[in-house]
Amino acid sequence: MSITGCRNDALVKLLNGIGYQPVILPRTGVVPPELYVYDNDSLVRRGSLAEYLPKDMVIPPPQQGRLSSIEHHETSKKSLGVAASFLGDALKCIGITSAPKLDLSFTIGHDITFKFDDVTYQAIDPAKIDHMLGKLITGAIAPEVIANGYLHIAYEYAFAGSLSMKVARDADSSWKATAIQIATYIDLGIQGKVTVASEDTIAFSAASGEIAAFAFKVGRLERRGSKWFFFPEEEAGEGFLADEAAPQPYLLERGVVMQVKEQ
Amino acid sequence: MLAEVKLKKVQREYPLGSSGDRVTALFAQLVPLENPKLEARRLTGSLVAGEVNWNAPNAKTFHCLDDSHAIFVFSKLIDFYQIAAKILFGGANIFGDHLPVRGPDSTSDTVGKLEALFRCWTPKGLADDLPSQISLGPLSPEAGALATFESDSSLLFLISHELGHVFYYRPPTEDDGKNDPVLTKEQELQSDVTGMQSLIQSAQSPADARMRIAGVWAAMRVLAVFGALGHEFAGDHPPPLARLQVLQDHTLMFCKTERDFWSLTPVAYTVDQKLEAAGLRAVGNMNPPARTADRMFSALSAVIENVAKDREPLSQVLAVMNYDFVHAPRPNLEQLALIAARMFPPTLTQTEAPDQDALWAKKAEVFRSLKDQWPQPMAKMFGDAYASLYHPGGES
Repeated sequence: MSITGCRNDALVKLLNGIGYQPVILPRTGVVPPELYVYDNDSLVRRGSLAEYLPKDMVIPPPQQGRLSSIEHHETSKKSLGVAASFLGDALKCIGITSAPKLDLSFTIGHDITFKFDDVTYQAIDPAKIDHMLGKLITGAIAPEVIANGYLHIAYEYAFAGSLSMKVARDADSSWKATAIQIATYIDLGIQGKVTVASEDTIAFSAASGEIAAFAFKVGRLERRGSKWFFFPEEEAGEGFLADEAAPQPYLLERGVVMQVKEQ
Repeated sequence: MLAEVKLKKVQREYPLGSSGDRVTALFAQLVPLENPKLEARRLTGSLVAGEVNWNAPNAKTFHCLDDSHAIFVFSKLIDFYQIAAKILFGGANIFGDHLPVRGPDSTSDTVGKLEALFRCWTPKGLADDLPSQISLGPLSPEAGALATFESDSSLLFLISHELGHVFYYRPPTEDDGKNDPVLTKEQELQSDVTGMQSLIQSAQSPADARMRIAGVWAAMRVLAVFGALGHEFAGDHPPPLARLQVLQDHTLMFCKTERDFWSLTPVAYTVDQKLEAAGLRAVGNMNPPARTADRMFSALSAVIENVAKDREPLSQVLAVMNYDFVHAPRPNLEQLALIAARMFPPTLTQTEAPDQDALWAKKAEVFRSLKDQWPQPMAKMFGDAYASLYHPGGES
């Protein structure tokens, strides 16, 4: 459900700190708000919230803009083995779901970091979701999914236009990324392109130009009696002492990147 | 059940230290739970407890939609209680099972170290490096065991209180809107009292009961000091000092006799007074803690008991008490005199505990033997108190 090599990664922590759950989606073209089922074991995208509302109900268009707080922030340094696995997953985050060849052995002996570039967001205000829930039609969703609180709504997505891979050259400043090396070791097929951005940085982008989401903000849905309630913040719990801490954004699980399945 | 899943998830998110989950082991000490409904929940897995590596000085209960419940006790508060207990039992005059346990530290060292520990509180929680900020000397095995028992008692009290959150829980309805139902102030206090009562009742010996009570009072006093340092407590919880007072009042109610109360609380009073002294210093107040009548009588009773058991010379009573007798406020001294007159009567009544009868008769004898050596005005107050209780209208 969560991918390996990322637990408590610096970039994952940064995203969590501003309320984002990093995810790997199997598709592009997602637009908030969208319905998910998360049962603590698997995360399944059920589709746009609009599909669970009356046809005549209008969902306001999401706000969009740049996410400068995420740009320029790198992942933790990764060794070759972890980086190779991470790269495959990270490419999915920019819409490259399969690559014929991803061989990073030309970076052997060097640590590697990654960062997302051209980061943007699309968001719908959680308060607006509250107003839609009165007409929610859960249809074929299993009653136990509802009763156990597994229903979630993603109300904001973060998208990346490209992915950069930087090779640390601390011990070997003579190492340089070259176009020939890259052409020999990496082939993204028709889905993407790879370029040398600088002597130590390689950039990956989707060929189609269709950007993919790599993180979302999500809240949980709960039915109390006949009414639905949306909780975009962590539950506070009942304390031995009263808790004055500011409510934190809700996350499915801190420190991990979640793999999303499509229904 | 969802509670177990939630606990495991949070423990993945905030990995525990090298000690592992200390709460699971403590929770096992409460098993089987006294309340049958709670025990049934535990047996079916709908009630779990565990340690969570958070810095806030708190414990929390989370209620899940499948009617399962997870109690979290936060790591830094566990560390705090454990270090505080080691400091307290590294000091002198904590009484063990048979003999006074004397640590290497003086009273001022003890209070100074506790003050340093309290300074590890920050508005964002307790500092990450609690242990490294305090220099802890090695404890004797007996003192170490007592320290562990006392801090375990603090933590068991927290868990027991949280069980009240499960017991009183009612699921939210649509009328609650987005708000989750919380305990009333009365239910919060009742959870404290019930938690303490079950801990005292589960004690295997009077020595255990002494440490249980000390741990419960210490748990609340520590939180009261955090409040003085700036920790904010929201309106739906009674403030820790009020909760401590309720606990102290109920300790007396849980004892069969007042004599039992004074026999079971000397460690609690000593610990409470040292923690308060350290807390005052931590907020920049160099005054000593209040010399209340209860605290003074507890110290008097303890030192007299040592003399009665030939552990201390008679002069030690005067050495321990005379400073308080000179410096305490007069109303507190008058109240102390009345307690002493009540507890050390001229003629002791027989009870179902002949050993205790004999001990308290000896203590009364020691007390009265000092009649002419108390400083004034204390000597007169003792005389007046005896007169008012045993010769009303007559001469003292």
